[in-house]
Amino acid sequence: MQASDVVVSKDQDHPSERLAHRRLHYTVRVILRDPLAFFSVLVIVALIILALFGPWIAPYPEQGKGRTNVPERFASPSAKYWLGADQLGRDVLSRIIVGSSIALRVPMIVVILAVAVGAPLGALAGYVGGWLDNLIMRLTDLFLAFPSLLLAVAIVAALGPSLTNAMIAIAISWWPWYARLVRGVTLSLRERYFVEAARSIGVSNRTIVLRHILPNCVTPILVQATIDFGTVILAEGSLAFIGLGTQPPAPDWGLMVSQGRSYILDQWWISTFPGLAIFVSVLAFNLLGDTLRDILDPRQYR
Amino acid sequence: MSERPLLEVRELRHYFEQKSGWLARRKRVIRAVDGVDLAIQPGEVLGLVGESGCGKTTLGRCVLRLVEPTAGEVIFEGQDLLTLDTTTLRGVRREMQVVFQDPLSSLDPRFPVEEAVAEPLRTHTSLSRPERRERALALLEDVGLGAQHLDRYPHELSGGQCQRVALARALALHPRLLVLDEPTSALDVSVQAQIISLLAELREAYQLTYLFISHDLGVVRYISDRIAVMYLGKLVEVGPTAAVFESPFHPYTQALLASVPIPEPRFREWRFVLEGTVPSPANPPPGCRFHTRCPSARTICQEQEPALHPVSPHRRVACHEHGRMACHEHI
Amino acid sequence: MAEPSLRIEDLHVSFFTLTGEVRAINGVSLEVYPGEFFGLVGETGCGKTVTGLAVLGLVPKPGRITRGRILLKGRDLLRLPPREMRRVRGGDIAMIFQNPSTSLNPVFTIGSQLVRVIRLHQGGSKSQAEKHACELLEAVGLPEAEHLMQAYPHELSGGMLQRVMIAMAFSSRPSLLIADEPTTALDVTIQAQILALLRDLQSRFDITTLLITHDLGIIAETCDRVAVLYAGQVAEVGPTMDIFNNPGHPYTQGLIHAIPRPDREVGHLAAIPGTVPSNPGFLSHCLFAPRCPHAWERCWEAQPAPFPVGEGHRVACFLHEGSLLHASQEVPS
Repeated sequence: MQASDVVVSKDQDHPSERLAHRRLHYTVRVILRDPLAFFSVLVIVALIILALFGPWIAPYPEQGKGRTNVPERFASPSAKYWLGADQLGRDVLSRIIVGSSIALRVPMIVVILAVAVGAPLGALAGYVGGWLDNLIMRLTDLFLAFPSLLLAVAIVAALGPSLTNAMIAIAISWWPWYARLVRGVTLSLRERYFVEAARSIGVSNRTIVLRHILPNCVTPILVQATIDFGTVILAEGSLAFIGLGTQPPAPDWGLMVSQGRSYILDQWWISTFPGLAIFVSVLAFNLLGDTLRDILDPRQYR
Repeated sequence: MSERPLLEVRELRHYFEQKSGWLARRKRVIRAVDGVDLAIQPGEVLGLVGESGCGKTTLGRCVLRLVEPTAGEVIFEGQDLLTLDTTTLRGVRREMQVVFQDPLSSLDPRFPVEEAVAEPLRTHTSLSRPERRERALALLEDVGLGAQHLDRYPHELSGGQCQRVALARALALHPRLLVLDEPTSALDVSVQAQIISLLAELREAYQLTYLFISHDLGVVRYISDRIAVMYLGKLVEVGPTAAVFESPFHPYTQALLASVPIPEPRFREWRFVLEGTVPSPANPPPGCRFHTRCPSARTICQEQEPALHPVSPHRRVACHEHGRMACHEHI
Repeated sequence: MAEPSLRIEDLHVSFFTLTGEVRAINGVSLEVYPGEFFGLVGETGCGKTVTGLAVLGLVPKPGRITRGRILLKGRDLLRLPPREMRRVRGGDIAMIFQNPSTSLNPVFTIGSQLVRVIRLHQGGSKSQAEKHACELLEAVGLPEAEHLMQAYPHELSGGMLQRVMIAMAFSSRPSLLIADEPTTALDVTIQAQILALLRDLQSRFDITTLLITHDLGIIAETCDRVAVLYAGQVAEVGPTMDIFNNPGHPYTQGLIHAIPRPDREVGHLAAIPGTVPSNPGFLSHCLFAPRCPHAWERCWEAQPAPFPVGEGHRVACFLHEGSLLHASQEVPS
């Protein structure tokens, strides 16, 4: 048999390990080139470190977790308390550091839940079409018709205010977005030749969705999820702000902003710094989403 | 040929609806395939040619039952595919495979080559993973690739290499029929030549029968034993390749052959150019569908549709007068 | 011979991507004479489209012309200020592309787009431009021009849209028309119509045409002279007759023999083994050597210059080094 184009094949004739190496190289270059990408990666790495090692990094971990220190209440930012102390004398910096674990955990759980429910439904709707598609899409319409915050409020009000219920509430109002996203991707994938090829081989529809469609949805889901991290932080913060999420004394950033509201004029640091923390994190996640898209997509089309 | 045909298509039709106009009130029926009778003998290569919109791709898909034909029969090895239930059909699918036009898009970008090639084995056999890998390697070698390609991803391969992988996948279950839908159209000339030669080799080695769909007449002439020409959903001429190319009967076939540029500079006399554009398949002209562009059209052509009738033991033409055109330049 | 209308001298174009520099064009030189139909042929990645874009100054980022001159009637286009270049684009040089349906704006009528182009380069009132547009549409063989002016792009077929593009290109009576794969997306019968139209317009209005394509058949049937590109360099250039009857470069020979013909039986289809080098700009040997059946040591030492082998026929291959000695002994044609 002729092996004519094996002899002089495409230059990229290297084993897989070097390919992974090149991908890493490429990723690093993308990040270093763009200052915004670099910033976002930096912030998120910092957040992860804080979330994992918060109690060891924070100067006053006990206060971070909630132990009050009333004698030093309203202490302004100083060498002792870098970002000041709040209305119960707790070090704001420590609270922010310890609270970062909530700030990361919540979006992760919410997004995983939303994807777990939304993605399969979206894939089914897109691939099967017909009445199932209609049914699922009307369901998403229903959920999307409610302002998400209001829906979350209603759910938390029914189940009782707590972090867990807040997470459930947000996930419930979030899954339709992923269903829609995955449905769109599925619709375009369905027309691709490799899906037709799989059908012609005799692969069952179920297997096609599981092995071909869903894995190819990973990239758009990942990009969307990264950006959603930021939005979920905001949503959860809003719920906490109105008292329907995390309950005190947890160092939830949104809660901290809310509790500092009454003192905003004189002891501005109590609300401002947690607010800044939210802002920076959300910004970083949004930027990371864009960077991810640049890293993951062009690789396919090089 | 007293052997039973491997594949027989009878009165095949595929219509689909297209909604248009305000609030989708108007419905147009596109007659993509409008009554096709065709037979393919075991071991032969049947070339199916036509321009865009003629229905050849749809016909290919109907044959594989990748789309459900509106009417007609598709008889494969004596069984009408259109009457089979899903499970039986799945079994029959082992015998007929397809290779598509766009090599990169016909492979799942997330599957390494080994998985792509082994997918049919995974679906239809109970071979273990190492056994599948071994088979995949053997298949890759048959199509001119090697072990180093097993773990590559489609985007790391060239167009020609992707097409070879698609071929290996199609051959995994040793099918009897291979439907090739424009397999070389997206490839460069030099790569195309490699793939066509490979197809010729594989046909011998695997005892295959090909339905070769293409708009490239040069390629079709090289590889096909017989050729069928389609226009607006119907066959206009069928016959052995050499005979049809040497002396085409149907005016459309003549025009098609006259329009293909030949890589040989000749005396600068402009050859025949077919006027007009293809009518819409939603609204084919009455009578003979080609009469609006046919240089030899007569009154009867506008009124009565000619049937595909035999004009010699092996040739069929759908024309009231399968005469010749004025320009004979290279015929 | 007259002065060339278009002269490209030692053109080098590189793309500076995140993965490094990709040298798409590595020293392309050619001359196109007034009134001729010149073909630029090659396979994917040979740089033919980039060459066409370079002439118009439209090389997309991250690409950049790194060396060379492009002279249109003596003027170096690469030295022109942007405003001047904009006037040249669509005015002196017009270009039509492969996919006509994406070249036109789907939300505007054909007429309004034509009128816009006409007024951009020639000024005049709207009614004057409309009249001119109608004339142009008729000149390119489109019936019922007034009716067509009101139509939207999606209502026309590919062939008709390409005629509209040609009309647009000719509206300013350019001296050079660059056609980049104008018929690749069209059916073969429509392709014949469009090519006939281009030849007809060229002879009627004496316009120099640069036709970029991968189809040797089209080249043979329409072009007076042709340049064969390989990996960003000119492998061979010369009159079409000579190139086909007497191809000097092994790549050209390989290409011609790799094409299956509809007009006669081809015994054996000779495939060219191997593939195009992916980053040829950094190599210092003959770019075709790895795939060439005639390669010898010389081919691996340096890159061949274009050696003359006949009247206006040059081949960049060491097999023909010194051929001029033989060619000059023949009677010039």
